[in-house]
Amino acid sequence: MLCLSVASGVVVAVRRGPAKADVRLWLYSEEHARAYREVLPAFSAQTGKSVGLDLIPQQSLNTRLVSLFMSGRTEGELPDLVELEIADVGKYFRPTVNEVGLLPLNEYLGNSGFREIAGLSAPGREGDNARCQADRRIYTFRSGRWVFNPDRDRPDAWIDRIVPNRLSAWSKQGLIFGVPLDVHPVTLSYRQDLWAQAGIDPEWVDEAGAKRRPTWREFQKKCLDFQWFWASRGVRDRHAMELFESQPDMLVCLLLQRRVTVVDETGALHLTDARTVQTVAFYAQMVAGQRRVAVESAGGAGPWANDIVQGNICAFLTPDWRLADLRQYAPQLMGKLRMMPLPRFEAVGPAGGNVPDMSDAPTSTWGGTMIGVTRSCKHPDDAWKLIECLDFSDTGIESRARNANSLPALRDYWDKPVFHEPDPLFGGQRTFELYIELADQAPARQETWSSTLGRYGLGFALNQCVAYLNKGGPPVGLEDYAASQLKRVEAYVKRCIDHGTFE
Amino acid sequence: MTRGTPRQRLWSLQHRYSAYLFVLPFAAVFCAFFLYPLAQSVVLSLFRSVGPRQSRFVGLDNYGFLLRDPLFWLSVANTVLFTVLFLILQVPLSLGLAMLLNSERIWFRDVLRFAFFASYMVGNVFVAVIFMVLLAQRTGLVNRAIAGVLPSVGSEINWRGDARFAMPAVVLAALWLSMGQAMIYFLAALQAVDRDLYEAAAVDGAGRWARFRHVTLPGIRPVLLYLVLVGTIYALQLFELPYVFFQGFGPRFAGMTVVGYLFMNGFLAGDIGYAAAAGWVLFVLISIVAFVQLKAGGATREF
Amino acid sequence: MLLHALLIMLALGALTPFLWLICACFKEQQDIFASAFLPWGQLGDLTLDNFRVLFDREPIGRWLFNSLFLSSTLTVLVVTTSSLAGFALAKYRFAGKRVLMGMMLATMVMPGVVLIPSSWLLMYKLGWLNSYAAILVPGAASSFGTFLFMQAMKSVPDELLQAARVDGCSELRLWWEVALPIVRPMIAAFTLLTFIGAWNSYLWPSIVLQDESKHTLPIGLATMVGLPGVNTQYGVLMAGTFLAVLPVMVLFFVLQRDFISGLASGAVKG
Repeated sequence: MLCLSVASGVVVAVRRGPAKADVRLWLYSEEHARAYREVLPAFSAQTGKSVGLDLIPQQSLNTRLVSLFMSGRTEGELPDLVELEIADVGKYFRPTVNEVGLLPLNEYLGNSGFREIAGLSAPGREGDNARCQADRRIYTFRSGRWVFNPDRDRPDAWIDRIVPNRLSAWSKQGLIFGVPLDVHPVTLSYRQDLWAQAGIDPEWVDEAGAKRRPTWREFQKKCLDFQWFWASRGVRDRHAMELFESQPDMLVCLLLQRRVTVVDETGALHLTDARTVQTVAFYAQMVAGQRRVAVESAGGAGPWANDIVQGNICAFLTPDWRLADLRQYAPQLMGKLRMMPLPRFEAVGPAGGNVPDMSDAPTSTWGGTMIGVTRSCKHPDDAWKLIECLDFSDTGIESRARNANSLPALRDYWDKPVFHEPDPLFGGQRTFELYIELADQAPARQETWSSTLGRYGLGFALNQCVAYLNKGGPPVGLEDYAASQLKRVEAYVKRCIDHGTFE
Repeated sequence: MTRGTPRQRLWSLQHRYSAYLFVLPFAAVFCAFFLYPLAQSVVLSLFRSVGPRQSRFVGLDNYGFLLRDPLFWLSVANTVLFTVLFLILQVPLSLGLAMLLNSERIWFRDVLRFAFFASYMVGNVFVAVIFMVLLAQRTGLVNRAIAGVLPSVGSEINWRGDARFAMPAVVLAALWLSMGQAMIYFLAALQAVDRDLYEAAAVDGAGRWARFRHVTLPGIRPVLLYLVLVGTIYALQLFELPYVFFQGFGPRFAGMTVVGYLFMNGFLAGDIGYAAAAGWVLFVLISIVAFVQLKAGGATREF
Repeated sequence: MLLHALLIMLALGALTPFLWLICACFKEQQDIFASAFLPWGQLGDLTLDNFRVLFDREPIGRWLFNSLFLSSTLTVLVVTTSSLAGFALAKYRFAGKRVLMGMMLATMVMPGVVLIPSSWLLMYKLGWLNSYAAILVPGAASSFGTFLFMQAMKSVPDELLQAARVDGCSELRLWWEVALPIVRPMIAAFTLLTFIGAWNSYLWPSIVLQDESKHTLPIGLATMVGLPGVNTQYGVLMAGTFLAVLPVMVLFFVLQRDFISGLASGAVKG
């Protein structure tokens, strides 16, 4: 043992340490690291600053950051930039806005990234405002052409070019603490071959001779028919769809679709809202009881993909990032899948009907990453330039699209060809185009330090409802039962929030 | 002591103080790196703090809230349940295993020993991952094996999602992981038992069970007590295994242990002071249990 | 015979997850969950790619060396301090003994997670963040180890020690030449288990070691997991885990002998 120690010690001592970098970035995602490494040389060449990427496991990154922020001592140890995941970010918003460890980025977002066009023949999107390089005047794109706009004094900056609903998750009281990297709209994908064999079309409902998208209740009915078809042919274990039962993530996703946030920015709880109760009850009877249509996979992407290949799960929620797993784990699904928008909670009128704001969104959102600058960063301008280089540049976005299958939060890039390719997994369907169609309507999300607690509480109520159904409780009483459980949970979470709120 | 030559004086000095010197390296590191953070965490638990410049002294408020929190008590119940199940199964099984592997008549002794030890080598996180896969509802090996015997039951057991199976799943994983470790310690202890005593007992006409009770057990008693104590402490502090296995806290929080509760409040919600308070309450609980154990084992005689 | 059959069955059961690990190292990504152990129908799909990727893309060599260094040094330190202190506690009377034992017990009991922010702060004040000292020095004291050796040292007969003292042995030599050989099996056991603990230790090193070049194997493997559930290269991860287990296996085989020979070399038969 001693010999081993000495020998390895010599090896370690002889190695040189890494050079000190000018700008440090902490991140936890290997895909991002890989994508960024391609772009870094250009940045260093341009600005003369070196960049250090620290790839740290997600849990450690958060523990370190929490400890660092709490201790208030920062020289040399805090990074300049840090990437955070949406489920982790809430706790960093706990202090008052002046004490949050991240730098508010409103100024940077509002004062850089001005949209410029070379001439009036440049392409554009409805509502864009750009400065024409030729005459330095501001034009707005309306009805297919650039129109001079005397009322605006500045063109679109980054903040106008990002999908607005994505900023709220990373903001507190109007101050934006992180730049969103993605949108993650959610759709539903299904095994087209198996549904076709059953003779059921999950995507459309016939109504008075016209087709429209189904509601969740109608979709559940289709699922039941689907399951009955296969069960009567002796196929065991074929379930219509996948919904998490042991974790609240999907339930939260569906609640977001109905524009319900469990804990909103002011700390107010929405666990006992009528909509929440209704949705929890509905979700519970989808995963348990006599009208059950959904099961859960074992943890991890591998078993999940396997379940789809085997046909145990024939429809599943797909935010854009989940497709990357399918490509990796289940290439044998080529051509067998198809994607549709999420079923709605409230019936939608014939195509083009006007839906008021309070009804549900056509999609939801699941997951998200941001990149932010720490308050202790000594050269925030350099840090900002790095963000622009890494995340607002062509190469960065393309690399993330290919590796993580992620749609960026910057609308302009949605025209890139990589987002308009036919997807072989889906038999040629252009899946990104569907995501793009839905992205602007992805509901806004809010995160506070108690959001995690609220989610766990929601999960608990869901578990209780599932147990109720499994014990044979009558479905009629489910909603009342759900209401009582949610009331219990809300009282508990409220108590925790009251106790833990600082301001 | 009579004054002798300088050499003799040095000799007697070193005899008297050597004990302190022996303990010194351990005690020095211990004080510096355990006691100091320990003290600090007491201080932390008396504050509510969300940032370096935003701290408020709240005295025992954290503790008060904690003790009235039903979720905390649920986590205590879970932890106690796990501990009891774990100990009841682990100690006898690993002792039995060690004894079997220690007897002279086994072939492939090395290989068998390795087989049982392999589980410990791979580490906490990996065990959770692998059990996630093994206990998967439809594709997992365990359910497939059960389905081979009882087809309709096999695919319905949801280890991760059903609150009734959650704790057994964790116990299973923990047993698999730690039996190897306990077995190794027992093996080493069994080696130290004097063979002559066995022969003497056999000559006296003692049967196998009597030999076990009167030769083996007393011989390995210190290590047995140690393992029970360590096993208890490990079980009461369990956190990573269920957390990774459930990717959270399990159905209806059935997988939440006390440290899991601490982790949720301290590191997921960001209230480190509250976490410190929870840690100290756990500390008190474990201390009581440990003290009772030592007393029952007669080890306090050594104090 | 029955005994053997039972043991072999149990052993197979215990080894099953391990076998899964080994098979997974050689499987393609899509086969890993499709087939339980080996894709019997397509044995040709087995591949060494996972290992190749591991060495090309990830600095696994560096992780290996870091882990080797840290684990072996730490084990040496811990065994030394623990056996010294355990010896003292078992065989000597001195002031403060009870206090020390009480405190030791107390700290065994404290959940480590709570100490992390304070310990981290201490490392920061000492300037040891991002250095190996932060892992080696605090880790050198193990209450568990001291307690274990205290129990083990009890079996060293007092008469032997007295005899050696009369022969003119210094106290230190008593420890080295009399006590240690008697508890040799325990040393072997503790060395093995401490090494494994240090080898697999993840939480504290991941928080303290910041440079990627200082990362140990568990940290490195954890970074390969990436975003939860997304794109986990299970095959590569399993290959890495397998490599991480190899040195431990070697150590196990080496130390197994000590358990057996400990009996032969023991002076108890005197």
